[in-house]
Parts: sequence; structure tokens; C-alpha cells
Amino acid sequence: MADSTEDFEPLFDYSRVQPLNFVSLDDDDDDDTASPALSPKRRRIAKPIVIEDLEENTNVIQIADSGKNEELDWLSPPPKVSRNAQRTVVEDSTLKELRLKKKELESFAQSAEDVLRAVEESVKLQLGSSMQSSLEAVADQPSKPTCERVKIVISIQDKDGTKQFRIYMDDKFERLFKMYADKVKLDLQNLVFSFDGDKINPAATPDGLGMEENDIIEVHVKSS
Amino acid sequence: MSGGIARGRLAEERKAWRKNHPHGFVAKPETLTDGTVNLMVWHCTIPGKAGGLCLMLDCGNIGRIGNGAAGNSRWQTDWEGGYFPLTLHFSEDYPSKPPKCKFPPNFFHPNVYPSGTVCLSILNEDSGWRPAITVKQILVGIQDLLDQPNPSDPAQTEGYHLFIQDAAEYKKRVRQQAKQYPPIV
Repeated sequence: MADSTEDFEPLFDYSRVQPLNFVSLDDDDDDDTASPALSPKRRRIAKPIVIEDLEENTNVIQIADSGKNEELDWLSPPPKVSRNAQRTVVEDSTLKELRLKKKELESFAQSAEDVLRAVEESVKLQLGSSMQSSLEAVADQPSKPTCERVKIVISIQDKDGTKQFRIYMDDKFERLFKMYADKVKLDLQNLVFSFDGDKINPAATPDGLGMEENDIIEVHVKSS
Repeated sequence: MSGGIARGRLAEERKAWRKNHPHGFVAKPETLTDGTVNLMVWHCTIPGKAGGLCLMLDCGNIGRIGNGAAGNSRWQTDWEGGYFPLTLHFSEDYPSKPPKCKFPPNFFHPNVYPSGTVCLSILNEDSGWRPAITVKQILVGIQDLLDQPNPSDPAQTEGYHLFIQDAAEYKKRVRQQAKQYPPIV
């Protein structure tokens, strides 16, 4: 309960809104002098409800007339104009910044385009200078990266942990096994590698065994 | 479509297993003769526990003390060196219901039925089974059971009686059996 009232307090705490000198005036003459001080607020908030005071009523009508619409009158107090002015000032500075940045970017783009053009031209020149027979070689070049050998990471697990190796999918396991034996400083003859419980033939490939990224090969050390 | 749920979960289990599993264990779905994979039956291998360094507490545990290699404080279990084949049979109700886990028939262990079916609380639908238990946890749980039988829940007479009454003979039988299942590789 206490919390909730505290929460609401600031909303209705008029003392914070009012200037301090008015409060001191209020203390002198309670009702009569207090009303003019509060009137601007009261007029807006209680407009449709308060009909008691004639003077106030006429005031309300005047304001309503000038504003044409009650809600508009509500929403179009002078501060809005000042806010707009502030906004335009701020916008001006940010706009300037934006414009500057835009110019920077444009210059970047321009330079990048220039570089690209230069590259293109040089390539064209090279193409032109090289004989047409070399077109076959050029045709080969772009196809190379697409058919590049696929690599996968395979873990080799012994009793104490795993070591990861990156190998070609179509590379024979014997290369990997030798790499591993060198790394752990053990004789390849004493190592047995298995995948899914089956011994791996050194001539087999990861592709052939249907291996996937991060698959585990187990290594057992022969006890002789 | 409970079957869809079972298969989906098993595919996930298999995927996780391929990326990470304890050393020496094997777990793979059955491949039929026509090359298709049957996710509902898995062929697994459980390695006998290798033991470890001899701690004070472990040394007091009869049946776990090693065969006394001089100057070696490492104890080993009588199951070490054996690679025991286990088949997991999943039903369409998996993972609501646990898989049936079977060693070969007449497997020697107090908690294995003559049919080979493993009797273990976590594999009992009415007891310890939870759908979140993974294949890895099942296999490691069974590996633990091999070395630590539960005499309060016997499933075969021979293994149980020897375990209770004749520790030396029990030990001998366990070691014999481990030799029957040497590493495949």
C-alpha cells in the first residue's frame, strides 16, 4: 500500500509544479487569491466540469474559441512551438553531421568504384594481351575453387582426451594416423584406430566411411 | 505420431553421440541388409571399467583390489579388458518408456536375466526412468552396474549366489567372461 501511494504521489504533487513565490501568496489569503494562481491549471484540467464561476467560464469559452477545438487547445500550448524550435535547432546540427557523413561515404564509394574500375581495366588488358587460347585456362581457374577438396575436423580420442585434426574428406586415413602417431610420439604399429566400433583401414577415406564434421575416431594402444 | 517422436529423439541421440562419447563405448543404430538404418535398435559395446588409481577408500573395497602388480597402486576391475555387446531395443513409446537393454543370453551378472535383459532402476519405467536420460547415461549406468552389482535385486540365480556366497569363484567367472569378449579392434 505504502509503495503504491508513493508511486502515485508525484502525479498529483502540485507543489512541485508551482513556483515557490505563489505558494507563499497562498498562505496569506486562502481561497480568493489562490484561485487565480491555480486558474491556468484548473482551466485546462477541469474545463468541461467547472461551471460554477462565471468569470472562469467566459475565460474557458474564449480559449475554446481561439483553439476551435477543446482537444487542440489542450494540445497546442505555447511550449509546443518552443519545442519545435528546439527540434529544428537540434535537427540542423544532426543534419549537418549526416550530410558530412554522407559526403564521406560518397567519397569512399567513389574511391572504391575507381579501384574496381582500375582492376577491371587491368584484367581486361591482361585478357586482351593474353592469347585467346588461354581462355581455356581462364575457364579452368574459376572452376577450381568450387571443386576444392572438402576438409572436415575429426577428433581422435584416447583414454585421456581428444585431439582435433583437420583433414581432407578424400584423403586416406594413413596420413592422419601418421600425423597422430608423430604428435603423441607413439609407434604407429601399436595404435589401432576405430570408428563406430569398427577398425579403420588406413587406405579408407573419411568420405568412404560417411564421416561428418566433428566425428570421433577412437585410438587404442595395443598392449603387447 | 509417437513413432515420430521416438525416431526424432533417437536421431538427436545418435547425432550427439557421434560428436561426443566416452572412450571405448560404441553405440550405433542397426543397419539392415539392404543398407537402410533402423533407429529403433542400437548395437552397443560397453567396455569393462578400467579402474583407476588406488585411493584409500577404494582399497578397502573387496573385489576391486587389483591383482597386485608389484609397486603399482593402480587397481583394476575384474571386468577390465572385456568389451561387452549390448543391444538397445527402443519402442514407439520412447522416450516415455525406456529401451530394453540386452546382453547376450546367459550373460553372467547378478542383475542380468537369463534372457540377457538388464535389470537396473533407471531402465525401469515404474522406477528410475526419466525421458531425459540419454543413451550415453544408460550405457555408463550399465557399465557401473557391471562392477557394482545390486544384490537386493537379483535377476539370475547363478550370478547372484556366487556373488553372495563365493567371492573367489565369482571373481574367476567374471574374469573368464571378460576374456570371452575381447576388443574387436
